[in-house]
Amino acid sequence: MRPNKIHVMLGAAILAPLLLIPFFFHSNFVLHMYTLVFFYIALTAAWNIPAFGGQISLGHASFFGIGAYTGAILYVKYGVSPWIGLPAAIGMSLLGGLILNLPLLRLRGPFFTLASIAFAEVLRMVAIHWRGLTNGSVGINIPFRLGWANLTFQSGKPFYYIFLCLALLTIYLSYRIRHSAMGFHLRAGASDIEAAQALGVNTSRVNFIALMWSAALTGVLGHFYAFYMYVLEPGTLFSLPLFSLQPALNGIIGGMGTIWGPVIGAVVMTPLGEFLRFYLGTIHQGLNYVVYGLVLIATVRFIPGGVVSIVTPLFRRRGNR
Amino acid sequence: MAILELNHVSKSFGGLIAVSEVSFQVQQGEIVGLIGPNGAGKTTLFNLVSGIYRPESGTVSFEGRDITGLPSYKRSLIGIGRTFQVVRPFEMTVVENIMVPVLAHTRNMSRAEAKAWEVMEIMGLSHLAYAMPGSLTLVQRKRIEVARALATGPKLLLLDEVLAGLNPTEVAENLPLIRRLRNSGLTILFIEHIMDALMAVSERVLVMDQGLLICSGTPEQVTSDACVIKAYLGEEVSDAVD
Repeated sequence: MRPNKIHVMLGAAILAPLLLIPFFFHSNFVLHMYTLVFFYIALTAAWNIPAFGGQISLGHASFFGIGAYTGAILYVKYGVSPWIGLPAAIGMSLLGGLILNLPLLRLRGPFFTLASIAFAEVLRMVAIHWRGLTNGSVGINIPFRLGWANLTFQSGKPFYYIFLCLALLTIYLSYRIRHSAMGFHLRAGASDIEAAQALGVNTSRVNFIALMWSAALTGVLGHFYAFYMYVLEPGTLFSLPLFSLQPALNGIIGGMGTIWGPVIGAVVMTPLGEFLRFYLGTIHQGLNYVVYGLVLIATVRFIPGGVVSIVTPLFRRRGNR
Repeated sequence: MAILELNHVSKSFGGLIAVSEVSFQVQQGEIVGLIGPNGAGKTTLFNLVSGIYRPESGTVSFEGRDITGLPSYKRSLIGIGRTFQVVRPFEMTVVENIMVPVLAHTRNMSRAEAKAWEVMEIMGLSHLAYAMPGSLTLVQRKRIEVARALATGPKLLLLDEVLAGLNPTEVAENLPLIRRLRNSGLTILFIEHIMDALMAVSERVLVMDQGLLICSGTPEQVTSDACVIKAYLGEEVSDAVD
């Protein structure tokens, strides 16, 4: 399905109001909700790139935390502007991807998933115990020095636009990847790895590159998230539920391995998650996750292809030759 | 020149010897049939040639080059194409399925698509380009399997029972295709249970039984070979009649 007039118009119709929202809603809560949705769209879409090739990671908090800590430490300890810290954050996340790729050479399917969890947990422990670098559980506070150069702002508007851009960038990149030779090879490998190899596909190579793209994008998100939140603490930035499970949940519920599945998943699940946390989380801690679990089970049971699998046929009917 | 050469190749699975000390050559441009009862080791032999398994001993050479340790995807890239006995289409449209191998050679999407259409034309699949393989008949899915193997641009094509499961009319329809492929310069090694088909197209037949290569020759020689008839061809004929 190539982009055509209808797609462009549809895109503009969705995007135009999003660009204007900060001018009409001044409530910080509304802006924060939108920002969080953009953030999770980007995080889920980044998580989804290896999922084109059937790799399900539950350890993306690793790349996220690496990106966040790299930029923040450079800024707080060495006074390096976050914009210069950004490439460093990308570099370190790629290094993380390289390390996680080592077991990947031998591990597939659920075994890779388990290795990815372990990887993120190990990094969390390192961040807690390497106090000289990370201040341990005390955490790092980003000093409040206003300005674009320091990525510190009085209002929530700049970050609204930053995360909107990151969401668009990630969707664009995942679209480009999925519709490239590499995307075809990832999907072929996910469908039948032996058959793909017999047809000349170097599945290890494409899976590796997909993981590296995903790691780099996730690192970028961690970097900006740290400056958005001001406070870095290992329990939060390497958090399993927030940055490993949440993108995976969004992806599976929305439709894993597709372009729009992660978007739908993040748009539906982020407000739902906040709502549940607010109402149920106060009744009993963790009660919100029970509802999450039920939604996940229902999705996998009744619509294994995710929400997007219900929506796509509606578009296809007219789109196909 | 021998395009394919196996030298004392053996492979076993936990004590069960699937292929034992098999040696043979396939010449450039030849069309060779491989027969044998179920469990004779034919498909294992294909997996050894295409690189899914490594032999425990012996060597495999392609165009004079030792490829024993070469991974499967590299063998495809240097010109060994194969089909699987149980068809294994990817969960994508037919044209996308056929683009996968082409994209291992070029990253240009439109060129890959053009090539896929060319192959679909040859295989009579053009009208199904945008269908999902899951919705197609076995005959059609077998054609996708052959089309994908062809799209790798092979010099040697390994066909694993591409005619099995087809009715006699369909078999008759597909035979000229195999000959046409050979006439286009391809070397073909194929496993087939349907004896008429095998006899009609192959120039030479290899016979396997219990992991051993027991006989090799023209179809006429093989069918009259006492050892083949006695040990095994009788069963095979009755199999084919079923």
